[in-house]
Amino acid sequence: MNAATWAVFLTVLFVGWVVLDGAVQGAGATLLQERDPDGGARRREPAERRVVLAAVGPLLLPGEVWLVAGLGVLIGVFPHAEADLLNAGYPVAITLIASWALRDAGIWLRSRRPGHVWRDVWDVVLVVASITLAGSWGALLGVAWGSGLAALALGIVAVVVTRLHGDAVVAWRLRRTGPVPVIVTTVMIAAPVVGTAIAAWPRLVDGGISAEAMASLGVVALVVLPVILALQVVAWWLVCRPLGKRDTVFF
Amino acid sequence: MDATELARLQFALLAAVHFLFVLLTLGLGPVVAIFNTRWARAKDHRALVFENATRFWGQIYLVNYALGIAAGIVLELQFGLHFPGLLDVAGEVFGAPLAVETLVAFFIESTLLGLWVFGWHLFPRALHAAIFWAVVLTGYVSAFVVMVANGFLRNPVGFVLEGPPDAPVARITDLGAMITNPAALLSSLHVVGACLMAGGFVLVGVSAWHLRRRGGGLRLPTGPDEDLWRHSMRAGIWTGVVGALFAQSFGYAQFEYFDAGGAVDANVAVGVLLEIMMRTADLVFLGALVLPFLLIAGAMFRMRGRRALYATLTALLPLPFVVAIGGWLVRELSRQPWIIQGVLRVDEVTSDQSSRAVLASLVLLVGLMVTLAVLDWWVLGRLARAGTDRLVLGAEAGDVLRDDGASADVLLRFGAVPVGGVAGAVGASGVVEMPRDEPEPEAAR
Repeated sequence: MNAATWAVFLTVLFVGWVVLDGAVQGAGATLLQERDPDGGARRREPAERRVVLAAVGPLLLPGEVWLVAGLGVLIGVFPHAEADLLNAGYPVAITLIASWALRDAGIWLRSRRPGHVWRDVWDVVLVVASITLAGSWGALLGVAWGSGLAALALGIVAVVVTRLHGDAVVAWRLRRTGPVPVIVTTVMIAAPVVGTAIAAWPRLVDGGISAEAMASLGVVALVVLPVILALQVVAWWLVCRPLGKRDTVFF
Repeated sequence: MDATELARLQFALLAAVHFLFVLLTLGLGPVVAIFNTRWARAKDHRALVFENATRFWGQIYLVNYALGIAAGIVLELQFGLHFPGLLDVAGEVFGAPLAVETLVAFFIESTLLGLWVFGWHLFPRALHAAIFWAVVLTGYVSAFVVMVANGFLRNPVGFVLEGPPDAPVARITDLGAMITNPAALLSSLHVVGACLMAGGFVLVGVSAWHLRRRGGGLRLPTGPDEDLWRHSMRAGIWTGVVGALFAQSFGYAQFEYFDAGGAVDANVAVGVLLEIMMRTADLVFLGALVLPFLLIAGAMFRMRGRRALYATLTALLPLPFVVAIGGWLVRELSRQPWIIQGVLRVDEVTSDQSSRAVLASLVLLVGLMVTLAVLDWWVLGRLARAGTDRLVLGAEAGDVLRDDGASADVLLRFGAVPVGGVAGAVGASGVVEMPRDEPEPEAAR
């Protein structure tokens, strides 16, 4: 695999993350708000929150691996591009990982204790951390464009689109709607990533390791790719089923 | 402190937090897999014991794993944030194993773990157990690949520096030498030993706590619950014995390369920590020799003075974690001031962030991770004490939702809403309307 192929692969990994984990972030961001069909909004009851988390629960682990792998490829294949990006976007990157850790802890820990207070506090943490995570990711994309204005704009876009995406995936899993809204929000959430990859392309490709090292790492990537994709298909199949009795409510 | 010192401190504290979770993940994994397999194979009354063992220890494994990932993610970005020079010089040599780790091992491990949890009622039992074995296997591969990267820093082999002297770049010349590097291979086996010891201590400590409260004292366990804790005690002791053997033998074997540069003499703290670690390991080793004999004919569960023994075993639970942190400090401190031993110094690779910025991120990230870790351990403690009472992992969805004051048909009704239908009506009638006649378990507490 050459630099261009690796850059495409990296983009695919990041798109995978925003689509899968974006659903979890969006569900987290809107965890407390229920929008009724008549347009009225109200606070979600505890059982409803649990059902929403159950709807996106199977996406958490198979979703966040895409960004972990993407960052691994960034370190291993484009280390110079990574160093440049993190140097320029230092506070944004720190916010991203802090909110990510907090979001994860929120999802895993909220339902582990029975008390109302424990769960209500974690739910607020989950909302704030999910919004911050989506926003800082968008802002980091903006940093890759090389402008503060782009960071702000993409941050806001990411927050808005992530909410829509989370809502769409939850509604689809509960079979309140068909799959069309999910397809629409998937395109919307993937677009900034693809756009950023195109905009930052020259700097990304220049920031890589030697061609021979890329080729030998590429062999490893090509060998594991079928396994990874097969497992992801199974994980996706879990989510495509309407939420029902045989699902696991863990989060 | 300057930015370099702060970046080092930040990395060290975050790595220590991550390491504490990794210890239990790797140490407990094989035991959960064995319980899961025995459950899948069990045909008689023991199926319940092994099912509960899988669910209880699996839940401990998961809650521990959760923070392990979070801490690992925070750690993954540290190189790019604070030590970009390391990747400039050794991007190919050091970065490549990290890329392989995330792409190959972690990606598969985490996806499979998701399938294990959320496919609980969907996959055949045997396949379900096989999935967890694959989680354990990929977890171990993941740890080994990280040790290859770390071993390269400690004992750099199989590479050559190319390019101008002011901007050298390391290239891999001998991949085999990198993988069979004693600082990777021997240290991995040593760390595996430390992990199994940690898993063993947790299994033994928690089982002892329950057995102490349960009395027992008969030849056979009085019920499935006591049976579970006896099985866990046995599993813990054997895990600990294997772990102690590995940790001890491969620990000493590491001196082959470890003290080559007189590293221990150079740093007093390293010498003291090393001494404490080795003496504690000797004591654990002695314990590991005695405890298996107490399992003969279930002597441990019947003998006089067992309650005192149980109390001691529970109190010793944190020991392997403390020792493991000591061991890790010995390894990392003895390398200083080098980031790659004899090749590159830490202060040559640090980013040009101001010390203020690094301090701010240190306070934020370390403060956050330590807080979350403490909360996680507290939750783990509560889960461990609750035992098999109301296990969530592997429970029926309806049973779990009842905890939130909803009945099982809430879930069904949620799933059965017609497209574009009366979602509002369902929201109003299905969820808000809770079974008023049943006391809510949460409110009751």
